Amino acid sequence: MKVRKLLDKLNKYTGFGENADQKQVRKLRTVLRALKEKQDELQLKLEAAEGTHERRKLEQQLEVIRRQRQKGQEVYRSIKDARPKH
Amino acid sequence: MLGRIALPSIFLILSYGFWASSSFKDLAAGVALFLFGMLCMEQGFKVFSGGTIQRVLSSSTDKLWKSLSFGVVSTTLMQSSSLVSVITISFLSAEMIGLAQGIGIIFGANLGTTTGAWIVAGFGLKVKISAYAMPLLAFGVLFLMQSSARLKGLGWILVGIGFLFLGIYFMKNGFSEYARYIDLTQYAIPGIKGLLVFTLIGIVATVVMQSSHATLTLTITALAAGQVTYENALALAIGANLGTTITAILGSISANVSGKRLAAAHLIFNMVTGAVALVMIKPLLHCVEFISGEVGIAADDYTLKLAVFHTLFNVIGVVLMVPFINTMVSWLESRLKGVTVEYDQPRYLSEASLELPEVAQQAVHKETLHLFDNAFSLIAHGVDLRRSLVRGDQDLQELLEAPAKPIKIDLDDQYTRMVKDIYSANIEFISRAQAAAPSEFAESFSALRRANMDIVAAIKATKHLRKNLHVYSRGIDKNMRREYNRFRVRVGSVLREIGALREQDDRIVALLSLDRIKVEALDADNHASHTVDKLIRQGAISSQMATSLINDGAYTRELVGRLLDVAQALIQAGTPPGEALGDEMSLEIEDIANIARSLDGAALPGEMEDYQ
Repeated sequence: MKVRKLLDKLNKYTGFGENADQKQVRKLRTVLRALKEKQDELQLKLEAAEGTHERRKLEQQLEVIRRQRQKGQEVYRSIKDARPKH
Repeated sequence: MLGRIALPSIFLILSYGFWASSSFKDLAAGVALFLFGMLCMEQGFKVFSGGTIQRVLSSSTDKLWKSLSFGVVSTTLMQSSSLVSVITISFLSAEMIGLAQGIGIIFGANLGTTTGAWIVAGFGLKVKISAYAMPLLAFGVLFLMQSSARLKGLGWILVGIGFLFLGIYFMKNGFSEYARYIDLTQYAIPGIKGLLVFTLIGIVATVVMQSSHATLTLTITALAAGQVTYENALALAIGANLGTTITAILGSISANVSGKRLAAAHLIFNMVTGAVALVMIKPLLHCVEFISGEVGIAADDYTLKLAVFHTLFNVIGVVLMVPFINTMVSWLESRLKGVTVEYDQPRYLSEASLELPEVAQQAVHKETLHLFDNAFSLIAHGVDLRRSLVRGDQDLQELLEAPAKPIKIDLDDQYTRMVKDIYSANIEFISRAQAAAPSEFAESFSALRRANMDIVAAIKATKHLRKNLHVYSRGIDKNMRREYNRFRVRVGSVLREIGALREQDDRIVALLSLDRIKVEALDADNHASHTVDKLIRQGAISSQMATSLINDGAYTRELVGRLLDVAQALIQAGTPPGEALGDEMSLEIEDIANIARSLDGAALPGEMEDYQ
């Protein structure tokens, strides 16, 4: 993460990499959207699930996605913060 | 039908022979030792296939002149063309060299064997190979007792050569009774009839004594003593050349079809050479006279003239047959067909792809996937799971209680055939490509190297796991059977999940999906450990069973962990340089452990009864 911040600062001064930054944000948004869809899908399944082990398995998968989304949002915030303020 | 009659008949003949004659006993034991030596050597050479020896052999026989020289030099050193032929057959059986290379060596061996005649005729010396049998066996067994696979391989080779020598020694002993009746002086016949009769005697004497050198020595001695005429001695030398092929034919009995083809090539070469020598005996004699005159051999020194003749007709044979090597290879391959077991070879690596780092990276990525596909079969079969079952939809938890259906597989053999060559080639290729590529490719090549090494480590863990799994997963103890089946299910589940990941195009999504698989694998591992603890506490299994379960649990953990590492390394290797999003969003190992711990096996179907 430190290297990223350094690169971001460099970009801020030079103006280079703004496009690359955009590309990464786009990709991140796509992944976060896909994770959200998967999370909603699993949530619906969880509500309909009857067996205890089935419910626990879904909860396990939901927990993985929840934490991944959380990490993704942190990355998103750090990119936004590193952008030059006009 | 033939097999049913042949085996009892051989038993009967051997039994009668053992009862009737002690020489026959020696002879049969000699043949048995000889064949056993061949098997040992083949076993030994297999250890080195794909390694240094194969590279040395390949580079020293990749061109015709090199394989010819290899044959000449090795036969001159060993003073036995038969032994060189037999070793070449075992090289070929272990697929370490090709048929054309083998034929080159055999042709070279025929030239090399002529040096024996010069030594005997010129110096009266004879290198006695049988004297080496005992030390070779002793050193060989010492190496066999070592734990290193390479030293063991060397041990098998030494023991093999030792048994070959011992076999030849016993065969000679066994035949010595019959050899007494071969008295050359009784058969001095002039003209063509004499030529044919003495060629036949040469063949018989060589077959009987198992050495063309012995026949030549006998011939030269008889010639020097005036017991045989010069013309008849020449015919004996031709016969000795023909008779020597019997050792190669004997050696090819235990060899695969490649070895049999080489023995056939040897026979064809010696028959053609012999026929040419017999037909052109007069011009050849003129040539011998001319050469002898030129090099200063005395007109009455028939022993050296015999050595000149022996060399001359073998050189002519090689010169005549060399242009037909490729024709001979095609003909033998079309005539002698067998169940050829191929060694899987790299498909995507080439010298040309080393030029561009992107191409090299793609090539080695594909080759690693190829290696993984082979390892997938080995591992699935190693834990008694059919590939169709692993790739299908059936709930693997259903396998927990029923005795496992065994799958017959020799993991060592399959490793040599399906993995070793590709793995060696990949590691070498990665090192070369990495050295030539810019630094941004370093991470990708390192990931690929790790993936290759993890694949091999996973196979080794399977091998360890299989020893007990093979017994307990179909045993009568229900607890042990369930726990060993649980190992199978864990491995099968991870293989299935990784297989499904291959279908995922988006690398980031694939990398994130791996987190879920890791959690499930860790959950299953935790659950298995708790179950073993519970069984021990309840006294449901003996302490020996418990230690087996704990050890094999560790092998399963290692195997599953390596498979997950392979998947991760393969995804990372395919990620473009600088792309780190997948890594940034992937869960840390602590997160994975926390999620798995929070559920503790409760997410596994059919396991809830333990928790209620």
